[in-house]
Amino acid sequence: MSERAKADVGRASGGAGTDVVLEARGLVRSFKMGRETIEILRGLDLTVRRGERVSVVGASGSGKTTMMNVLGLLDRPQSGTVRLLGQDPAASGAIRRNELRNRGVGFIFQFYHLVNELSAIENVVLPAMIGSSLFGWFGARASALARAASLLEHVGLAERMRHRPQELSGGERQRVAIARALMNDPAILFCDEPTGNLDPRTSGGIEELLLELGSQGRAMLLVTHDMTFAARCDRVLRLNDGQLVPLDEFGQVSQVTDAAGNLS
Amino acid sequence: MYQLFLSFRFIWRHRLMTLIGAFFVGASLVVLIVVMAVMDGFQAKLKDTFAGSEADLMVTPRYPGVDLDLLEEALRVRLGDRLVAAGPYFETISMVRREGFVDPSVMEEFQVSQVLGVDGRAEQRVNHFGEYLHEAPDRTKPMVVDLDEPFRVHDAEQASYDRIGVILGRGLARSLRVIPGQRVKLFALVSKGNAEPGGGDPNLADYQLRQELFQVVGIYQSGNSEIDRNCVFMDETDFAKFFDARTARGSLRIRLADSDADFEAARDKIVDDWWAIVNESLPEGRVPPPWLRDENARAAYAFTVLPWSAHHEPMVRAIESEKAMILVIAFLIVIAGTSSIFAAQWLLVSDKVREIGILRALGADVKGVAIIFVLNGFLMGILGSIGGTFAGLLFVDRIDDVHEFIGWVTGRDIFDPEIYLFRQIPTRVDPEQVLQFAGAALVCTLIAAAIPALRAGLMDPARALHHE
Repeated sequence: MSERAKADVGRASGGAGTDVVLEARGLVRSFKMGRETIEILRGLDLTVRRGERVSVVGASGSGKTTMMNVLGLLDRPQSGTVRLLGQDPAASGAIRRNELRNRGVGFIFQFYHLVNELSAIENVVLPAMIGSSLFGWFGARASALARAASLLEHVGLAERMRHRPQELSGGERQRVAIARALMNDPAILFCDEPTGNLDPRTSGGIEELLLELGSQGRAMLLVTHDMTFAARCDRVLRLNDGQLVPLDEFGQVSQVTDAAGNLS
Repeated sequence: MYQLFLSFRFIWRHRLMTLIGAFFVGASLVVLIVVMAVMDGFQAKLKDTFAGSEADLMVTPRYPGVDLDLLEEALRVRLGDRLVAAGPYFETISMVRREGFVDPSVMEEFQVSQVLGVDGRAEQRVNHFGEYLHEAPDRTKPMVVDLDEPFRVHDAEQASYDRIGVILGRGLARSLRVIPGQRVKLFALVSKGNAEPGGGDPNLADYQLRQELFQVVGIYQSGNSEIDRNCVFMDETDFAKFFDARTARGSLRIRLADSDADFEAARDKIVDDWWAIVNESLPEGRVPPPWLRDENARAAYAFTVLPWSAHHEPMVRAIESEKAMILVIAFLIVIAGTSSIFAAQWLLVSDKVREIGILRALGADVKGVAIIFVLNGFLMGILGSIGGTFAGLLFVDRIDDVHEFIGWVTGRDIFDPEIYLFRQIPTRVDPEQVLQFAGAALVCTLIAAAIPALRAGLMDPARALHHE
């Protein structure tokens, strides 16, 4: 990794501290399925501090993605509050909510979610472009492209910057997605099963990269089925019955994983 | 900025769909431009035909004793450069039949005709009189008569009896079965001079029937069927002699510099100065009649001022309403064309649900996402409008080639010059109107694109992200 890339990546809000980056209280989210109403989140509470790496495990359908959507300001809870970087987006209005999503949050999805029409570097630079005005972009374009290039270099894709997503492997696509998530130097990364679609060897590399990013002072909320990966975070929580429950390293985890270390 | 960037990328990725959408907009614009250019061309041609056989403005004095030369002078002073030319015009009704033996009991041998008394030279300046004269019904043969004196009989031997020549409308000549060189007999009911005009019920005893043979010196064909079918043209002096000037109403026909723009101004000027014009149009020693000297008298008492269109109002209005109808129909075609953009954009939005979710997750707002797709539609519209405008203008320019081609393909002539009296399809392109059409098509595409764009913007980002 180049010094510049290191500096770029390391800018994420200083070292580990006690500042609260994300705070959720009493989150309730339910969906109507025909005549039935299914409660996914039932008074969920969560606090993530600056530099903290928190992993959430849970069975399929337990509501992990719903939780990530609500916490990442992509969805609204029926009740409860989410405070991101000390701000309540529900009270701030749509513009501030979009700004927070653009500058405060980085998303990494299981299926990468890259824009196929754009090259790797264009995908990475996209959050900066979205955050700029028409004229602001012309002033910021050169530095944004330089930062995107440095991020791609950092994730090991210096040679693939001009390639389209369909010309990249799954692992490479996920690296592009990670670089994109870092583009606006967010305070927290939301990683929704980032290795779920990768083979074990590739996912190992991605895990290392994410943990490295997390150790550089940026908060990280990780949702995964991989207990080994989850256990490498500072805290492991289990989403159970719409609420988050802390797990200790041996006792609780062993009850919900199979021999391969995956959740049953 | 990202909106424009992504819009271009989406368009490039779906370029075939973009081209198809733009093609339909362009095609509908071609229809609109061509249809309206042809309609305008027909209208202009008809107007040219009517105005060419009549005049831009006809001033008919309603008071007695008027000298048309003095009236022309008075109007020339008032209208200035607007008045390009003026000429006298008389009209009356007469019976006409061809020379030779006919059975008096067969009324079909007689035709009721409208006899027009004009100054042959002045008439050519007032309208297209000279252009419409032909020696024979065969339009390809040039006129032999001298345009300086169109009513002069050239063959002195044949003109031993009558020195007066007449020109017949083509339709009238056909129904009378006469050609130039042959003679026709006109019948006129002329006052004996002992009856006061307007003094009571007409009494036949006060009139006499006058008949005279006239040599046909030419055929007149303007395309104005009303004139071509009924009219006999005669020199104004001969007209006055034969019909007695007192029984026919004289008018002054005027050609204006701009027949549409100048009419209102010319009429207003005549209305404003009517009293002075009346006085100046009377020979020395004559005074206006008492009813015109009344303090309540108005310009309308003294003059009838009519544009060429007044005689063809139903036709002019029919063409206008037909144009309006066709404009509506053609515009519906444009709307149908732009609906292809709606369909293309709707499909694009359906195809890009995940990308919409990604953009929202990266901080794009509702407006930003919507603008991407509006821009898409706008770019399609721009392509379609520019392409359609050029194609439409090219089509109009080459319309006769297209007409020939269609005729060749279908094996029939779809535009019969015998019916329309012009060999080429008339077109007239109004650049301002073309720009309006292109602008309207663009607005339609924007509206068509706005609905799918709004759908994109209002998508739930969480659902969009996990769309499969």
